[in-house]
Amino acid sequence: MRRTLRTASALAFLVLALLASACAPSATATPTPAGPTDVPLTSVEVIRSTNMSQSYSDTLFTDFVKEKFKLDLRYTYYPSSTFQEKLSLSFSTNSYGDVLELVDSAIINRYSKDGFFQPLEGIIDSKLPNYRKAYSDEDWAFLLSSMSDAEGRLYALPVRMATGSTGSNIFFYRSAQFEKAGAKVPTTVEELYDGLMAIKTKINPNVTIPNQWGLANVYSGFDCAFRTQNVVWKDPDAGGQLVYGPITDKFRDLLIYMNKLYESGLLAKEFSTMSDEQFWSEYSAGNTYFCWRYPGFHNKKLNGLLTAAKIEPDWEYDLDNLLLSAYPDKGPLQQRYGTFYTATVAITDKLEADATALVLSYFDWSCTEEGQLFHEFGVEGETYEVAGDGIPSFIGKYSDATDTNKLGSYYGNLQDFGPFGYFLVENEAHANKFYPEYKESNAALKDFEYMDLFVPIPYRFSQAEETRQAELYVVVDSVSKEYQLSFIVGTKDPGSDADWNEYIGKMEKAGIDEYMQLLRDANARTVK
Amino acid sequence: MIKDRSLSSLVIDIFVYGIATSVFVVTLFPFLNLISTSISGNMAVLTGKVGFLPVDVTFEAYGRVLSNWLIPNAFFNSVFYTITSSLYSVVITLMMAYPMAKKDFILRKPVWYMLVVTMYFSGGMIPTFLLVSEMGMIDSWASQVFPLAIAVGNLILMRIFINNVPAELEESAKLDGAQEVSVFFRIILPLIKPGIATITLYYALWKWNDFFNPMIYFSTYQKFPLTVILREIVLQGSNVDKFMTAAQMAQKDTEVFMEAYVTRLKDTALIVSMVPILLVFPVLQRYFIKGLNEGAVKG
Repeated sequence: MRRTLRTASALAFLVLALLASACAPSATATPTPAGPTDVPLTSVEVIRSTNMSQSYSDTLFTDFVKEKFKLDLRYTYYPSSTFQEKLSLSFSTNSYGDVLELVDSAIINRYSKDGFFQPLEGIIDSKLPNYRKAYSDEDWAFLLSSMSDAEGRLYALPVRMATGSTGSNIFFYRSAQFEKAGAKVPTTVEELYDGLMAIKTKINPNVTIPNQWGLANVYSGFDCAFRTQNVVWKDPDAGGQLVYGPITDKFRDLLIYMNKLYESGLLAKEFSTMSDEQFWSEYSAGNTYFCWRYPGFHNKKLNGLLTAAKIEPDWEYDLDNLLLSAYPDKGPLQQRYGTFYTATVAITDKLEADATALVLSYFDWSCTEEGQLFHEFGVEGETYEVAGDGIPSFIGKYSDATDTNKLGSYYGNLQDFGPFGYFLVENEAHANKFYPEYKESNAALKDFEYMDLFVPIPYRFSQAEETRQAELYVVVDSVSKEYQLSFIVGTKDPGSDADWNEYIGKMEKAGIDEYMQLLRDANARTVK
Repeated sequence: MIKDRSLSSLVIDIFVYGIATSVFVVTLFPFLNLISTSISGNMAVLTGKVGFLPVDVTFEAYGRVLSNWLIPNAFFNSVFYTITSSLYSVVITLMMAYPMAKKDFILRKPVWYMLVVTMYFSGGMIPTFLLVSEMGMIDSWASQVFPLAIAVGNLILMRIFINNVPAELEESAKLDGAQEVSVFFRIILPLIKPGIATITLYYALWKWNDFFNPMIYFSTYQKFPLTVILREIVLQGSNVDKFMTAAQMAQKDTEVFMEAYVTRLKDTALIVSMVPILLVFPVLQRYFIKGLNEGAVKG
């Protein structure tokens, strides 16, 4: 009996002890010492979405900010796969942080309707002059129109990219193979077709155009050639008006061409469902002869695949021939990415006025030359040194001499742990040095007109309009995709007026006119 | 048992075995493909040559997964949360089930109704989160152990097991001077071992597979269990490069074979996470069946 009681008491004690230890306050509640200057530290909780991280914590970074700004940045990382759920829960339970980093502007604007974020548009000139200086007036007006909410309030600061780190995708070719087949390296879509058919007949009957990521991606590169897009976009040939690409005549031409590629066996039969493995297997088997990717991709991937497959690597690009044309009189369009990411930094309403001022001064400093250097390279003498050309390089354990394509191991760690994903404003000089291929191709394409890509078109909908346009989008998009697929595989003939008119009729019935009117009206209301 | 040898019985047997074999094949083949991909070479994976047998066998992906802190750490976390929370849940369930099996316990009915209601209506995610937060359990392992300690289904099962113990045994123990605690530990507990094994397994499986609770209560990577990390790997596959060390990333062929690496690392991580359950389940399976049969037949 006594033994039983002892056992029961021990179990009860164990349970109580576990409960007590588990509920003890965590160590982070301890106030941080103010440091030698006796200026009290301001603690700021930063919420950040991140992918899997290394077992690495960059105290060098946070210590520097602590010392310089008396700001104690305390990072909380939400796994990217569950970020939205955790963020939503944190707002529902009032447990959100002081600053949100690298969060999509759409998410920020959604929560800002409930007053969770501080508006920033009124303090840009006074508190963030260096951030503002990073944009031209034209770019800034565009930023305000696309990033602010329906009342014109800006709650999120987008990450500003250097112009030297982005640019249009370009075409790569296995030029030697085209020449071997007696064809010229193509400059137009028809020459591409003829060249591929010559290769098919004379060199490789398995020549193919693979595709990954579904129907939308099959037009990549060709959309630039045909000066169209398969979404709503501002068409320069329509005076910059908003148009729904897939119902235009240019898109019809594109569908006729895609159907020709399909019928001749050049476009892979599984183009709308191919997996990554299927896609790349065609490249490593040497069955592909052109590729549409970012500058430098041929050396990073394409030639490596051929080498691994014991095929002579012969992928290259020609600066005079980076795009294909479908309308030689007009020429192709090049892709233009936004001058900023839609990933943004925002300050919540939890942060007191003094702390907000401090955080803003830190943000603004990060946009200066000194701040950019710090955010991209760390601390001079410790993580980097400035070489003769004035461009910094990582040193010691922060450098990664084994791979000249990367900035070094510190780069990855900064992306994982550094504020703003390693910068709020990217340094132009550094981008030019580290992305020489973009610099080269951007210079070669400077005279080509632009097709805006991944740039959010600003809309200001009322609640009712937003709901209605979302409903219409589902139907319109579904009908359009169904017909696009039919036109490419030939169950409908894109060259037949009857079939094309049937498609346009179905789109009208689905509400394309009402949908486009809603978008045009909402776009017209945005800040100019 | 008399074996039915009629033609109709044979047809039914063939049909049943046919269905069972089909299910077995459909279930087994993706698993074989998973294993084969995890131990095949980059080029073979990239060119889609891997089916049910590995090609260019290499265990490099296992080296990468196990040498990175993420999976072993998450694995340890899962084991720790599973063991502590299952033990705690079993103890609490037994302590609750015993009085609930006592017909002379005055509050038996109202308490029972209160318990059963929770099977149909929960407190909701936000109130539960706030409660756990107020108790200081956010980002603590305690959030995996103390909230949701009892599954009412398991409690019902244990009550059935306890009810099935002959009342005479209890009465004779009491005649010999035993008190309730002594009766519970000396008489009841030894007789309901199969039931305890069953609910232990139920709790362990639940906790091992639990994704949602760790996801909402933890915010530190070092504390996440395998379920959250695996979801991250599988859904954010294109970011598997973060899973590699800087030295691994710097290897020349990493960029070239990134898609193959992603597939192999994903598959390897899945295999590694399956191993414990694959090892434990066959051993404990008989308790599952025995426990369920006891509960079903006598209940």
